[in-house]
Amino acid sequence: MHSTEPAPSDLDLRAADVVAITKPPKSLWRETIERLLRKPSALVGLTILSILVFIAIFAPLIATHDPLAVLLDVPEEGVAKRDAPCIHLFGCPGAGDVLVKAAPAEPIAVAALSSTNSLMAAAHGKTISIWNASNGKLMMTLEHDRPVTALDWSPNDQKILAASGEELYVWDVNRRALSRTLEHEGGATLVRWNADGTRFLSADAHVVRLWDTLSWTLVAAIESPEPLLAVQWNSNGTLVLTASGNEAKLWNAFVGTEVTTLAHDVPLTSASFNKATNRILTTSGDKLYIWNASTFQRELTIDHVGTLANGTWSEAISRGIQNVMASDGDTAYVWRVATGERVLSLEHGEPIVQMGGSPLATRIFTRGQHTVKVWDAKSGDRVLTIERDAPILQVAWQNSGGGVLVATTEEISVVKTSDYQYLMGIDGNLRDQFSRVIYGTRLSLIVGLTTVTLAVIIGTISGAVAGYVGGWVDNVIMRIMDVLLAFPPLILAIAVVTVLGPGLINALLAISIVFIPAYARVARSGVLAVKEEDFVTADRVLGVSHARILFRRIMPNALAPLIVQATLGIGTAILDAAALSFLGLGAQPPTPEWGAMLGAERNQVFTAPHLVFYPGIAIMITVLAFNLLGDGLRDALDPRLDR
Amino acid sequence: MAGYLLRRLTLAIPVLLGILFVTFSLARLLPGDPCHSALGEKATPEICAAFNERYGLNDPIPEQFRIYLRDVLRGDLGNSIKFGRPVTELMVERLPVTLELSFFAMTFAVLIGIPLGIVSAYYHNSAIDVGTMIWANIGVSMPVFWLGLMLSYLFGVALKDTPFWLPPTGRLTAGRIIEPFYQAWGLDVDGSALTLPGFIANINTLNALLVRDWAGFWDALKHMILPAMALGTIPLSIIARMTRSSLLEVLGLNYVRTARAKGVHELSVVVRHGLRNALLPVVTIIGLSLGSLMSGAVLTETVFGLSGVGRILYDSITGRDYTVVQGFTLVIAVMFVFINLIVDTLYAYLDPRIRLE
Repeated sequence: MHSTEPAPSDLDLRAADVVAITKPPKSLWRETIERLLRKPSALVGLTILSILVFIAIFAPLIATHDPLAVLLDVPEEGVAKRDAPCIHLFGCPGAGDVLVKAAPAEPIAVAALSSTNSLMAAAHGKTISIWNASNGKLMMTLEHDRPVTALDWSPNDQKILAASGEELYVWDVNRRALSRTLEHEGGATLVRWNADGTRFLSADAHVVRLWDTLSWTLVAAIESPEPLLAVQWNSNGTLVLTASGNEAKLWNAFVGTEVTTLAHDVPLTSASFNKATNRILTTSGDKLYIWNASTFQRELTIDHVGTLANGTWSEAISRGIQNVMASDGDTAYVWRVATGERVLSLEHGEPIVQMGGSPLATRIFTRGQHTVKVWDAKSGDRVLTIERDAPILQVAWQNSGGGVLVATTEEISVVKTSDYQYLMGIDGNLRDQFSRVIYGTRLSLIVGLTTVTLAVIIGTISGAVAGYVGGWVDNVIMRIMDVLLAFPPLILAIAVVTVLGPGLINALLAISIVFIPAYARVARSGVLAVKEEDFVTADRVLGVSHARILFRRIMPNALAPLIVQATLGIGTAILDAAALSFLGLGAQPPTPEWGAMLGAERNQVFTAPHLVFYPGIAIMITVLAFNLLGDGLRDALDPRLDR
Repeated sequence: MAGYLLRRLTLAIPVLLGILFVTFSLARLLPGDPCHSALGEKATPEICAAFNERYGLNDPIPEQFRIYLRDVLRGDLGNSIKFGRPVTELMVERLPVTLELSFFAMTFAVLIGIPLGIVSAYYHNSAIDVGTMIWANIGVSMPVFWLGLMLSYLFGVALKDTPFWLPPTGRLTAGRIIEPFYQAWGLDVDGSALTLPGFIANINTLNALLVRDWAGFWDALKHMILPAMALGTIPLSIIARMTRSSLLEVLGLNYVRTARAKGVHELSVVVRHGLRNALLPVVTIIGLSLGSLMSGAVLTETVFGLSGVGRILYDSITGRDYTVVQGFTLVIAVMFVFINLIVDTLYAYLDPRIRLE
């Protein structure tokens, strides 16, 4: 309980000589903060901001990838440019999930993914069906007079080549019409385009025919007395490799003459070019040979106990990986070409009939009669087992390396083999969008804080000096500020960066310059408001230095509006910095800056909206947080506005 | 009133000179010497000497500034390096697009922003109020270019094959031609983009109205909706917030209480008594936003492929066409100053208290 003392009788209110000031019950700071925390909008702003700061600090832990890493170099196979995001709520396909499946009524004889992997075709009976390889929708069927025995896609997906009876059919997929019919006596069991689509070959057990697709004429027919076990183009379509009996032969694809013969002691079991076609791998008996494809010398001989077959390559030259593999019954072996040492042995559990290394050599598949197994090419761990009741006809890697085409006599399907998932998708340079957005938080907060700090320091000093000194100094400084204020902010920033040259630091400087006048004005009016107060005069009389008076006595009074202005300014600074980066004047690629990310992908907004959506929403949330906090601060520091 | 106007005009002169000095310095501060940046790296010393002589680059700086002032006053902003044409011509050619865009953006902002603000103030602290203010806060936090891209995706792609589809780029559907009004009216005038008739004919919607080509008008308008929404969202949010807070302040005044006490219907109190006085600061905000629309126009026109002033500014930035950047910066800043001047004068006209100060 308080008791009120009676007022002294001699109290003269008109000339009080003693003024007692009681200390406020709470400090001003505490009161302000308490008032701030009562504003829901400020609370929301503070919460978002603390989350953003947390994300910025722990970005390396939150981000799933290096923001600058191109994922194919890491390597993560199965990544495609501008891949859509995978949102876990809707379920992401993982390793082993069937991406598409198609099951025609009749048994399948042969199947193939198109060169760009957008279509898949299967021959069943007299028909070839073509499906969309991303959703499994039937696109068209091509009818023939007799059962189809072989088919192949041209390199640009425009044409399909099919062997049926004694004829070769060339179909134009775009027009859905037959464009050419050629004759292969005896019926072809294999047809192959070369890499640029200017030639193709058709082969049966003893004859390989080379065709020219410009004149549609037979270039040459290569005969082989013993059954052919391998026919292959080199990568630029100038040579054809054939293997039969004890010999592997190279042929000139322009005229059909023999280039060389690689002789072996025992019959061959396989022969194949590597990707760069500078080496040839052959297996015969218990030996594996590697030949130089230009000098035709034997470079490496690997001895093995047992009979090798199905020799093939597993290589990624850019990462310095070149391995060869071959199977011996149930087991597949992998050797390193550089040293000749055996690095892996993979137990399949069924006699292996086909093997293949993924495009970037991170995975290997082995195929038996009813199962396909996918292995990690480095550790040799089994990643996946795909089982099918019907006999498996063939298995092939997708170009992206993220899945395999599995064709059985009953159905063809594409099975995902990679388990990587990308929350916000993949950008146009094959980088993980999520990690880039996370790292972008750092940059945006830094940009917002530094620009505003710089502008506040320069603006406050010049404004305070102008207000304190007055006279012509005030006039000059404030007229300069008026000129700066006369420009629309972004336009001035653009003009300044154009002069300074694009770059994050220059953009930062430009935005700071643009923001200086706002703080100068606030500081000046704050100074003017208290400049003539008694406590300033008292200090002056006491001989306190001008700098001390200005910055220790006067400026604290102008602090509140400056804080509000600065908080609101951070949001605007972030927006403007993003706009400059969007225009290509700020952060330069590959910096993970939100505005720059938006600018880089803005032409792809119709096909890959996620690449624009996420950075933009991140900018919006950050700016919103600063705006809410600034509004809350203004209300808390100026109770008159509180309603 | 005249005295006030005169005072304001006098105050504007040093600012205008300052703007001219800034744009003048921009060209002088460019990295590298002006000769090589204008004529390319292969310019010989003789050519450069002639170039410096021709453009007065050997003169002292004050003399150079005097020449620059003279040229600007004559309407000569130099030649674009990329287009090889006077910057003034480029400006006049592209201005109709930007004017049209700004007009629709502002119309959108005012027509939606003010009613939103009124509703918000009328239902103060209700769910409608809170919702509107949250949206207004989000509206000012959105990057213009992002909003533009998202709108063009939403209406141009996601809503394709629905009645809500809107064209995401361009000014007119390819192949549609709206007959210039001077041709339709049989006037015998020069219709190049640099003359007044050409300028007006370049404002598609206005031209379509003049020739009563309703299909053409609808087409031009449809192309304007998305850019105007993108550009108008920030002013809309600002106007809504301003209308609300200003109206709330006015509604607390005594004369409003009197009106209520008289038994005037609440809606009438808000709209007839309150709004009239509350709109004063809103007018200021509208004027100020009009100036800052120019910043947004650079981004909006880039996103929507409109060949306006902002777009050419963007092209000049990427093409390092400094004369265009310099000239456009100058013109935009001067426009900005005059718009602010007009707004201040209007405000003084509407509120007599200002003039007395």
